[in-house]
Amino acid sequence: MCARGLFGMPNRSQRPSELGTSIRWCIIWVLLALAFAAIGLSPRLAVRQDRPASAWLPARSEAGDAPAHPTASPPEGIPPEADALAEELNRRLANDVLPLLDVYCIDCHVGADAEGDVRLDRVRALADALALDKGLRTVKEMVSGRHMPPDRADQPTDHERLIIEQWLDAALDYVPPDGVVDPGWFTPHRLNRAEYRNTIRDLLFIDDPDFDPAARLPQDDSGYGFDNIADVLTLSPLAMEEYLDAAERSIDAALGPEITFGDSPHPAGRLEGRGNGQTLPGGGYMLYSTGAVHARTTTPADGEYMIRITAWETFAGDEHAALALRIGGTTVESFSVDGTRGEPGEYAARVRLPAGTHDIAAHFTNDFYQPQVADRNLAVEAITIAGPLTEATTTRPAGWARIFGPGARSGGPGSTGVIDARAIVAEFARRAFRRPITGPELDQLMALHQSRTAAGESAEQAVRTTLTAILVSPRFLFRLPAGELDPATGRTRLDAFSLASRISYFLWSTMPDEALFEAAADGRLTGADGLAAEVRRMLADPRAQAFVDHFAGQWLQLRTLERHEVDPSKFPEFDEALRKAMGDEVRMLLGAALRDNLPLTTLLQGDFTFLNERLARHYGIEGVEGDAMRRVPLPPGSPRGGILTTGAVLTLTSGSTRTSPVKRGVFVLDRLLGAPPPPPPADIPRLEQSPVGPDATLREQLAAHLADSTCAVCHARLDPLGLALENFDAVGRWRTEEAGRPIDAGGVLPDGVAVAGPDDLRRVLAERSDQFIETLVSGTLIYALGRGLEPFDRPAVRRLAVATRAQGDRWNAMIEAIVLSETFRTCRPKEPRP
Amino acid sequence: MTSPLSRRTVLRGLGVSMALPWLDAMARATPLAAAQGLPAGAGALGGGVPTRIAFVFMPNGVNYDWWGPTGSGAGYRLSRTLEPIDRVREHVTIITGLTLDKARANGDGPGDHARSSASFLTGHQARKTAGNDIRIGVSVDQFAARQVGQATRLPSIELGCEHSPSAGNCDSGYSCAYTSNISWRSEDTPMPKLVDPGAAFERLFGDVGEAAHREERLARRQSVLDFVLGEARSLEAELGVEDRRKLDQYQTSVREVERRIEAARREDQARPRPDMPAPQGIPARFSEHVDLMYDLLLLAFQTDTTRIGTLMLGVDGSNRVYPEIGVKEGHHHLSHHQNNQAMIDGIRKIDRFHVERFTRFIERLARTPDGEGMLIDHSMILFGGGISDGNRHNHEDLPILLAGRAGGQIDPGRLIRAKRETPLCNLYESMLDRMGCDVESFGDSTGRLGDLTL
Repeated sequence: MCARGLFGMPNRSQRPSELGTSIRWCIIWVLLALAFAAIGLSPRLAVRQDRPASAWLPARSEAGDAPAHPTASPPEGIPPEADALAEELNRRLANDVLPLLDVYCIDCHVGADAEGDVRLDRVRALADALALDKGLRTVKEMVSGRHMPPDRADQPTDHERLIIEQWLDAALDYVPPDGVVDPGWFTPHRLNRAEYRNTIRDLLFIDDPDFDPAARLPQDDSGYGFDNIADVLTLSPLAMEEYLDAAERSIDAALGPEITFGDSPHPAGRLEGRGNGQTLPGGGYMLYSTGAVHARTTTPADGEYMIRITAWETFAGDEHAALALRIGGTTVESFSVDGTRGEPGEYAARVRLPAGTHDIAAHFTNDFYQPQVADRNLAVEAITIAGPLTEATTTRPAGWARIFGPGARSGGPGSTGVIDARAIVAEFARRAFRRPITGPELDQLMALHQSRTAAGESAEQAVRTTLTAILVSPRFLFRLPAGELDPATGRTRLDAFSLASRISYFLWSTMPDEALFEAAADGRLTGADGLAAEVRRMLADPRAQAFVDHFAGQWLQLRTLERHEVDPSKFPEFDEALRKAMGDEVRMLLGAALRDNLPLTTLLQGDFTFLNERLARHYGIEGVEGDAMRRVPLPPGSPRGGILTTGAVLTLTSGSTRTSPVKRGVFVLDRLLGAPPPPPPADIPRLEQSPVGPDATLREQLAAHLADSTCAVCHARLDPLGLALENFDAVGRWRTEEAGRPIDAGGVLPDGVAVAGPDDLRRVLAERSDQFIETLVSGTLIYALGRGLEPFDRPAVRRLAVATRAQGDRWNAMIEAIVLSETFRTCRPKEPRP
Repeated sequence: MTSPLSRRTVLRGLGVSMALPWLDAMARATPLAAAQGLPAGAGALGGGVPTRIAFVFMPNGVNYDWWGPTGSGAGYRLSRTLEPIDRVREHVTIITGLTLDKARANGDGPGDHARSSASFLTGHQARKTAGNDIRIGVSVDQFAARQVGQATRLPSIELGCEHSPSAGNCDSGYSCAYTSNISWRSEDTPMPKLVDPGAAFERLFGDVGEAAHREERLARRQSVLDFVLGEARSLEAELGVEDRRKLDQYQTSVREVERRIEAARREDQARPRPDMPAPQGIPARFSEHVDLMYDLLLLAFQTDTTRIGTLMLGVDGSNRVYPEIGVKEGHHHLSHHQNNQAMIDGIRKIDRFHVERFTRFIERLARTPDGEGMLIDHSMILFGGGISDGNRHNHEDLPILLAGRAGGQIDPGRLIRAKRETPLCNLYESMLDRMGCDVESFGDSTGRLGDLTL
């Protein structure tokens, strides 16, 4: 079965430096090779084999249905009757590889005096090859390095050499599915951008949706299709500098600036006269007629302030000069100014101001002027502001009290601050480091605090500095594998807090909440029941949407939809609202699978979906009104159903101007069935040498694929899968004709099964649900662990897939099984690099 | 998001700065070099004006039929695609025949695009992996940055015009780290690129805030970094050998930030910023985005903020469409043209587009005063990619242009025909020499490219 070829990766005895080929390369070629073998189309041996009815992809064999290869002598640990991969490798060896070895190699490598003591005549089955042990690797290197066959001998063609190499790679990577579970390693895991953003928000209680602490962090690189792979998440100097900056900005956003309370005035800003008048010698401004003197001031918090205006008038007429204090254009107080040049008056108002920058203006509103007789003027000498006046009347961001504690009070003139630095730092560090903090660790942090107060910082500022240090500490930026090492097995069982973090970043993309911390602290995470209970609680929490969004965004490549280019001249109706609704539809389908505990096969062929009016119109479905997405049953006879026929998937697998059946076929094989075909060769044969010319239609070009045997090995599988969706255009609309010609969505898979549209395709996929589930297990496990899967993970994946199927294909059950697995709960050191 | 103003703003800023050619900034940079015991104007030769070096990467190869120039020496003839170069001919050296052998499969199978970007500046074979144990080599820009980068405020700047794919696999079993980055500071740590012009501007010219609190904030940051370095050291004891690599990376990065803070504290006041607002967002028109990134590179060089830069015009394998020049199909898709004339035309338009943008950049460098001459006179700007013909994915006879005379160490205006299979790294070695670097052997070089001077 093919998905097991996913684990065609380096085996235990293989050191990384010896890897001529890499993991992914292996995956692809193993899968391709398996497919070659299954469809019997390897070019040299293009003899059609008799195949079971649906052998266009290697099928999962049911226990007991596959006889051992007649010449195989299975070593212990490989029960061939349950091992479809071994069966496939045996079949390929017999059909594809042995004939080549017999032509090019056997002459020298036969009998007791075989060259190099490599007896290829003894290799008749996988088990024989595995028995060569390290010798097998040597054979591979001789073939790959073109050292063998020697120059004087007949040489295989490149393609023949590739067939041998692929098989040797697959054999070298072979791991029996019922082997012992090896949990693999746990590389210190830097928080990626999304995790950092969420964690900062939760840790600092920031609820401002416009504040993005991760905005300037460099983009994370991805591997194995996901951007949360610890081995790939590096830390550049640029990232470090941005982390420092983000830490400072986040602390400011959470706490607001440091505030000194009290009524000590300071200038509200540079004075700027607007209107007829002149600047006074000692600063300030004299207004000759109606006008104002402005100052811009910034207040640190929402609170009460005292604003004082020093002013005087030149008296004229029958009243004093009128002064209006306006803030942001609104009059907050009016005064009658009786101060004089010799004895200016002070006009004060107590006002409540939110945090931010304000325009404070003293307006002269009753100018009086009789030429040569009387002239009333207003001089504004100073505008000051004091405050916030008291702690009690000041509102700070929510984070202040939550981080500093309800009893905390800032220092300032006339009041001693009440800051319990040690308690604040201890609590913050516990949450930031996601585990209890030890006495010595706290002492270290408090030493930093003391050094900062010694350097002249206030107690509060020194706490802020210490919190900043916590936010750039490796204990915060990285998740670390802590636990108890069992010397007997060499494995580490993650302690409750490491495990809690692993779960919360898996399901929520953020730090644990207090309930999870408590479960870790009181031992509930050590037993399977407690662990399962926490998983169920967390999956029911709205934060689990983070898992759906990140997983769907990457597994189904929804993120590429966000930047997917659609030619506006061809599809003028495609707009951002539609793009968004398309993405939401898939996310909601996956969310429903999780929340409503639906069988995952619903994702392949469901009878409902999520639509708003815009998307429903796009699909030609009536009766959906408004912008809100909601669950809608699909009308009888609808061609839609399942993620494959969503607008999102159909669009992101198209070009900007037209559909791409090849891309759609690749999507099915790669994303849904875990069997990606290899990339096409670079120099695609020139079409004039093909049966069709450069102006050929898409279908004619695809037909040319099948005429060329090199193309056909892959395209015979790919094209019918993609063509079955041809009734959906490049933005996923249903169509029955293109450029006046009727759409032909028909095709025949290599096993002879006709596929003539989305319903047939869904049926074919439903028959592959084993493979679909295993693909989903692999993807979910990569995401959960934050590492790529290795050959040694094969037994774990197999067990998880069996467990998932046994629970009716429920994602919740799969996730629970993953969290309970040894792979998730334990780890072992990574092999050192040579 | 879209801001048609941003480019014009930079241009205006550029006008201002050219009127006041940043003498202050230049003057301050030199004592910094001296303070660190580096040769005066490290990386500079002749008169103390430093040499600048930049590498511009273009993805997906070119249509070589229209790229390849004819003749040789000073009398060479430009090809159709290279026509715009005529405007800056005196500043440009065209080099043919260079090879990037490490971008070839060499037993690793498909993945030419990933290898093309990963090997382009490193001359190393990327270890084929989707993530576990990523390994390549130090890139030529970082090699230079390590030796002469300490002389400036930033050792180097990494810019780009395209984000990496955000989902899925990048190329045939290679991690996206290989396709997203061309600059590598160590064999396993890439230098991420800045794609947002505003972020790049802040990186180059931003400071820690108001002058009044500058010293206070820098001192505070320093104490924070001191502390976390101690944390990292104590953590190391708890971790296994392989896990310590991540901590090493962390510590190296912290030290680099510390170095920058120390340098900033030695400058007794905030650096002058170019007299312009920071650009906002990524321009919708691709040509404006490209020009803006080139302008930022120019400003970085002009102000001696750094002397070393890379610019990744696209991620290899990029499927960008170019509606502004009438190309509606993706770049990568078109590059495999199957001899379809419409597709070939599209790819040629894209090639021409990039040559045009590059030419404009060289023109601007040639108009920007620098020391006794112009900036281009003290620069080495390499333009090219790791794939020659995008249809064939071949890695010999790469499209490579080199602009500038490196303070008189290069005689441009010529076409140099290197012997077939001459490693691209031979040219890099010759360029590193001209940066004043001490280089024994770089990447897969077999020696120097001897013909850069007449």
